[in-house]
Amino acid sequence: MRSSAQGRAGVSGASELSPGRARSLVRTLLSEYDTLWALFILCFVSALLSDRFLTLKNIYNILLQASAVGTAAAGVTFVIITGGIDLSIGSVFALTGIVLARYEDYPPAAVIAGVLLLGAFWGLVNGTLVSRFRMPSFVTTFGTANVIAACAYILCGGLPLHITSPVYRFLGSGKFLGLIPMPIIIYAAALLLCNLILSRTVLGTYVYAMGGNQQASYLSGINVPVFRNLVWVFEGAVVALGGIIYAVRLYNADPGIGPGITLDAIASVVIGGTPFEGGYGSIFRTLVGTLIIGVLNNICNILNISPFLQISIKGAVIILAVLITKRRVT
Amino acid sequence: MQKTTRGWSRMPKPARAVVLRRVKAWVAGYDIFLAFLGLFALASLLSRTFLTPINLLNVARQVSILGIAAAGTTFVIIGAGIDMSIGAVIALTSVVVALLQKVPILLVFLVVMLLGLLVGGINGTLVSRLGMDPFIVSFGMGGVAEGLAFTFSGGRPVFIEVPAYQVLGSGQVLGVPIPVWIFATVTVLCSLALSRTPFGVYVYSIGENPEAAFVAGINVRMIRMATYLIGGACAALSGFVLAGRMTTGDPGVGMGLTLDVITAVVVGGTQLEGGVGSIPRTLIGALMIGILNNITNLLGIGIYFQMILKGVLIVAAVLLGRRRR
Repeated sequence: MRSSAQGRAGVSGASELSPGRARSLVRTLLSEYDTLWALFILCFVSALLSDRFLTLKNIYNILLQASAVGTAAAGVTFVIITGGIDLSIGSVFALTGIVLARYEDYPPAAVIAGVLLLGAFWGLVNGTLVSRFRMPSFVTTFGTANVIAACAYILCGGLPLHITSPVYRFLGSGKFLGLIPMPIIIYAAALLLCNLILSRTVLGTYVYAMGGNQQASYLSGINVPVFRNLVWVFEGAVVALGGIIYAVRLYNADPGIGPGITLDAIASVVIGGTPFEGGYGSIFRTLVGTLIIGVLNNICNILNISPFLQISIKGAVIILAVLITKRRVT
Repeated sequence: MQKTTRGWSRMPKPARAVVLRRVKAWVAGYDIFLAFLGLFALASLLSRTFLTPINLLNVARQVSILGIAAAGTTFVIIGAGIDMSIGAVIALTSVVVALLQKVPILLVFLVVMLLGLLVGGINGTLVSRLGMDPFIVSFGMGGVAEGLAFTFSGGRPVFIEVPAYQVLGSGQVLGVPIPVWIFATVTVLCSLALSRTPFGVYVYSIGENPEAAFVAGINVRMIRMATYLIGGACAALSGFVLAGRMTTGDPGVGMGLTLDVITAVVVGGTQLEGGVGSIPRTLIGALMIGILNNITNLLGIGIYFQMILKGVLIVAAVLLGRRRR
């Protein structure tokens, strides 16, 4: 299995280093961490271009801006590794934000739990259609995206809602122990949880197995429909968490967030080197992909590049990143 | 096979089963066309204004932009690819038309078509030569094109004052709007190319099984490249017509339009896995979306409910397609 390459690198590093082993270790480091090198180079160039780049404040800024979409990206990594795709992320963001703002007066813990359940529910809808009825996830989730967005619009009457509750304001702009911004803490926790599940649990192994070869995983006794569905439910909840971060950071819930967020989240996963074919990828890769987009946005802003041209630059970088990582997959 | 079927049909009960199966197969082959007739009949019953020539032409005109782009995208999708840059190409071409409005219209048309072919060519090269994932390639190219559209236009819609474009968008020939003529021409040409030429057969075969197609001596790369070129050219033509219809070059039509175009193709029953589908199906898919939008408008149903209906229609159409397979 290809995902064992990282493990092999560790083993060969621990045992004696013959020249051949060393060469293969270097090759593994270069190919396994290709996107990480890309991120390093990008950071290096950014630091050269502006002395404001490598300041703690700016780094927090990058992480803050990445936190919401990054959380969703971590969730959708699961789905993409199983060979699916989720185009309803943006709509779930819109709906969770609206629910949060609409029911501000209720106890925040209950509302947050409700919102996460709501995300899981839409994950269940997507998952059932994809795994039970064997529908292609691309169109299925595009269809449900319309329905979910409509729910958000109906719930708020078409206008953005403000968020004023102090609890949410703390989640959005407060600092943990007066040091680290809360959204970054939530983002980090989500990443850790996702990484634990994907790399240390049976469910994680099943995720890779189902993405690598569904037929084989079915024959080896994995209940593919149930576990695929479970993956979608989990992804839905994680995306809803991303939606919460997004809303509380802006103090604002907008029903019209739409496909931009979806495609950013998917691009983060793919730039990190998780291919659409499934069976391969990791949360760490998605983190790197998210940071590449984050750093790119940040340095473009620092350098005052027009936001319009930024769209073009981002498009070109996405193609470049996939071009670089492509060699590994083939 | 034939013999056993005949022998079986002498027996009364299995005979019925055979007939039933044949009817089912026939219905399955025309599923989307029957669904379309159903929707059409329902719409005619629900609103008296629906079945008037003016309204039907209106539907056709509204669908034409979507339909032109969807016809080209059908090639890409049958070839097991996907093109996420359609909307961006439409936006970019409409902006370029608006900025070049003083230039003779035929020259603008040439420039715009070359632009579409260029984007399609880059998509096609990256996908067929370098084996990159079509979703991400075309998504990236879409970003590049959209960014250029916004940069060229300064982020604002650009108005078109030259009358030639008003004729292109709102003029009529023999009582039928010009965009509908263009839409019909593109549909017929694409349909002929896909169903009556060796090229069409090649497109189906690279979508169904590229390795088998390669072994059979088909130049898979070239055919795949050609599908993206057709997709790009149709998107550019669609943007050209859009510029005329709105008399505006709008950089912001992008992403939403891409997904609408793909939806039209998929609702028609063309499958994203490739190898299955046709241009008439795409035409029906586009018309169904058009009729759905039209009848909900006529009945005064709110835009949010329209979104829900659209979502349900997409899921239902795909579910229907699954059964067929």
